[in-house]
Amino acid sequence: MIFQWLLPLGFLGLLSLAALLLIYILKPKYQQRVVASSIPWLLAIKKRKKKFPFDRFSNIIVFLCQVAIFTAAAMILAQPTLVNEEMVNAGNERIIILDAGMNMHATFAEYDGTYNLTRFEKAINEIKAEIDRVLYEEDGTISIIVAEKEPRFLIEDMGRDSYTEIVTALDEAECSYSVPDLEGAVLFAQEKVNVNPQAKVEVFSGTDFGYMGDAVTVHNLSNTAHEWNIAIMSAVPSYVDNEYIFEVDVAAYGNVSKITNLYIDILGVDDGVEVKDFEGMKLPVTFEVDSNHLEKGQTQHLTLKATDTQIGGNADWLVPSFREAKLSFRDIEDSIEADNHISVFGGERDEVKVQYYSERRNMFSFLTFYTMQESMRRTRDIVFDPVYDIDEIPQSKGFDFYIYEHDVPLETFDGGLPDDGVLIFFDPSPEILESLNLGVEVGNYVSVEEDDVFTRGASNPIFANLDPEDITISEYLQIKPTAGSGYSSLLNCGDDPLLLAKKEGASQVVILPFSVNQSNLAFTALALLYRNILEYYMPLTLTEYNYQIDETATLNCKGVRIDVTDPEGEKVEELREFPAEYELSEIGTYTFTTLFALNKPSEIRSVFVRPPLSESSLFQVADLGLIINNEDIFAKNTKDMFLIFACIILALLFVEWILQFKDII
Amino acid sequence: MASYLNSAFFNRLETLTLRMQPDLRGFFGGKHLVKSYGQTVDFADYREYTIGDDIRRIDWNLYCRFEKYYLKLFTDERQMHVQIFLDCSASMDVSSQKSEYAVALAAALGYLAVHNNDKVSFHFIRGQRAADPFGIIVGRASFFAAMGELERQKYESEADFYSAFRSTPIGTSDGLTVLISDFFTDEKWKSAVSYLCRKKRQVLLIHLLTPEEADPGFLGRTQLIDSEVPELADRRNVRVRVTKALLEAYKEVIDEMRADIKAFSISHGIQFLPVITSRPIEKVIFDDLFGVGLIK
Repeated sequence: MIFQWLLPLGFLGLLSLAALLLIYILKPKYQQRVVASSIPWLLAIKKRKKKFPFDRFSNIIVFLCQVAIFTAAAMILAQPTLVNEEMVNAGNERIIILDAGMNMHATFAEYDGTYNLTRFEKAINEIKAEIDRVLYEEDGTISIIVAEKEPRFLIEDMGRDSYTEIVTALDEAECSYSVPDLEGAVLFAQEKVNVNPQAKVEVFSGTDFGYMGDAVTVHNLSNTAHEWNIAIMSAVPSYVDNEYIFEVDVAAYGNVSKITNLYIDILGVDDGVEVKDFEGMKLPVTFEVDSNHLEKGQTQHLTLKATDTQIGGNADWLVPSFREAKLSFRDIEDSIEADNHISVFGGERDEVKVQYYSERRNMFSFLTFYTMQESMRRTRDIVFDPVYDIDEIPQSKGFDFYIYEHDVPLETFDGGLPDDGVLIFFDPSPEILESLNLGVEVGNYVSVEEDDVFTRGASNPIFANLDPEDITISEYLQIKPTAGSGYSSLLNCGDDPLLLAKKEGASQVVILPFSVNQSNLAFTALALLYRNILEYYMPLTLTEYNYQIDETATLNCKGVRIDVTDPEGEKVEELREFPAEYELSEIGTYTFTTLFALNKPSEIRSVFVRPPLSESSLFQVADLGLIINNEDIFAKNTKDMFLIFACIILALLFVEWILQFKDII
Repeated sequence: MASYLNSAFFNRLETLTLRMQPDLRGFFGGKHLVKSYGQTVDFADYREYTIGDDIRRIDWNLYCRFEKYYLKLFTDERQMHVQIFLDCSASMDVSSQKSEYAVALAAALGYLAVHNNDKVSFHFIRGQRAADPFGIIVGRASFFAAMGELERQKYESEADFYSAFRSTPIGTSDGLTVLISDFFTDEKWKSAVSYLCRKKRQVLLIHLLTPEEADPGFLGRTQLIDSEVPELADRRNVRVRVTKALLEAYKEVIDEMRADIKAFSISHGIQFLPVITSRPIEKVIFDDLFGVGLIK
């Protein structure tokens, strides 16, 4: 029972106490009366005080009574109310939470080699038995919440009439490879319990819970005696000394005592001459029995190298790049098979071919590209092909970037502009710009005055980490992009652009209308500028190749589109806006195919999605507490306290009357 | 006074006689029989002759019968001195009714004394003094001459009975002393009355209150101003919320005061008469004083 004030503003009535205080503060008027002698009066007062010693307090008691009366009146204005809460009983109801996480796939082999039922199958059977009991013995209702990546109601508030539907839904239920959201499922159950506090919650899971409420019963389907699991937790390629090695973490859970082998096959190895497959390597791994490893596991870190002959490798098996490395445990019959193998990708570094043409041979450009090569070595192979011979016509096909510095023979473009790469014109002559119809209007050469200011133009990653204030240019060619040409001006001197770039389909052009010789650009700054251009026009499709299920891959695109193929080999998505986020909802290998607007073959990249690491641990103890609050849910029944307070006021008035006029009675 | 003391009233008083205690000595003459033997014609007793007795008072008839000398004794009649002390403090004049009533009582008792050939003196107590403006009055002419002045007395200040008695010549065992007062004073009145008792005088205490004093009828917040203490700031002028309960306590105080006076009177052989001014004075004289035994 809760006491409430429905209208707390009624307490403003307490302001009337001020009036009462004022009355008391004002001095009362005494009438003067001449008596023969005050002696008998003094004696009477003394007698009175002797007879009723509390009389001296009567005035203050009267005042307190009056204050209490005003206060009670103000309380009445505030509408005192007793809220009586009556327990709600909506009948027998059972709420079942079914753990559908990957750990529920766990099973174990019988002595005859046949596999027992999985945890999930056992849970389904137990739930069916429970349903029979609830529906037919207790005449109750059933709700089943499936706890997977996102919890959902499999069925809700179904009774005996829907028995067939319930059983069908259970038979069709599938166990996922995700991390179950048990917390979310408990919230779903709490919503049901909020409606019916007498509802009981039963959880079918392979997880132990730290603490449980009275309303929750947990059926733990794990079997610590027979279940065990060996898993490859992670495998990451590492490019060290011009070759790839593999950093691998493996783990075992449960009472495991095994000596087994971790098999490694490295496919699509390109040693520069031909593509090879290095297969048949295996690394012995020993797991010892340790009961402490039930939950947290016994983990080992392994480093694999194809040139390691002790694991079946070969001294000649150098891995400068690879398409896919497959790691697997093949000789075991553990409880969960899905985490026994893993594919490693990310061994194919992007090759970027750059043709550099300049009529002037210079070391400056060599240093620039060398610096860029070294800085991007871990992710890309940059092939630099300089052309310094003015008599040589540069190629117009087969490169990702075509850099033309200073003047270029017009014969170079007799067959048209190259259509398979990005064109970069550095200090182009007016004739080149006008004849190639690049979408710019050409003006005159302009000398930069001292008071001219270089400013950053449109925001673009090409100019990342470069500060216009650090750049000084003495002369440039005045150009102006024509309307609809699609250029963005990234660096300006006054109103004149000094760096134009566009990336529209097959038209990918960068124009810098000044000579590096008439600028203060160092080769490191120029290398950074080229690197930014490269990152902008040819970003890495993927920066991460190992994922757990339900994680999201971030994709960038060199071309115009990426087609996504799921582990079953079906094309499931076409991505056209980048960077793109793609959720990996199945375990296995996803393939991303990049299609170019430029005239070049598509690029294929893959990632492997493994089951969640946490679910490889079969005997988890969750931090989550299964507390269902079913105690404070009552229907509110309000009772007006007006009469009680009115009685209080009457009682106080009576007391005051007694004190004021007690001599009458 | 005209309302009380008129010729009809005095005529009725003439039917009454003061009853004095016989052990008073009094003065020669008068009409009050006393225990001592005197020269009246009323036989009192016999006693044997002793040397020195007046042989003229020997009863020779008894000598004939008993051959012994017996003296024949006669009762004595004495004149008494009635001293009437009137409390003239301010409290006695809080209403004209009270002061007039007191004067009337004093006059009635004085007339009774004069009528019985007794000597009368009026003493007006103010402060520590008791004024005696008329001296000893003997005879009706003198009495009525004094009456004119009696009602013109002033009532002021307080009354200290003891000092007033001590400053007044009071004879020993020679009559009656009447004290008319409201006794709104301190305990020294007992010492004063005890002084009278030591003088072997017959004493009558008349406790005079108005009906309002016996039973005040007002209620509410009141500043009570003592008639004898006109200064408002005096602590005796109290501010009080007069309630029924306080009135009850007041009446109890008045009753206790009377009981105290009565107990004191009984213990000292003093006559005591409580009077409320609302009671007709005739009833006081003809009934109450009869009850007290002062008149016959």
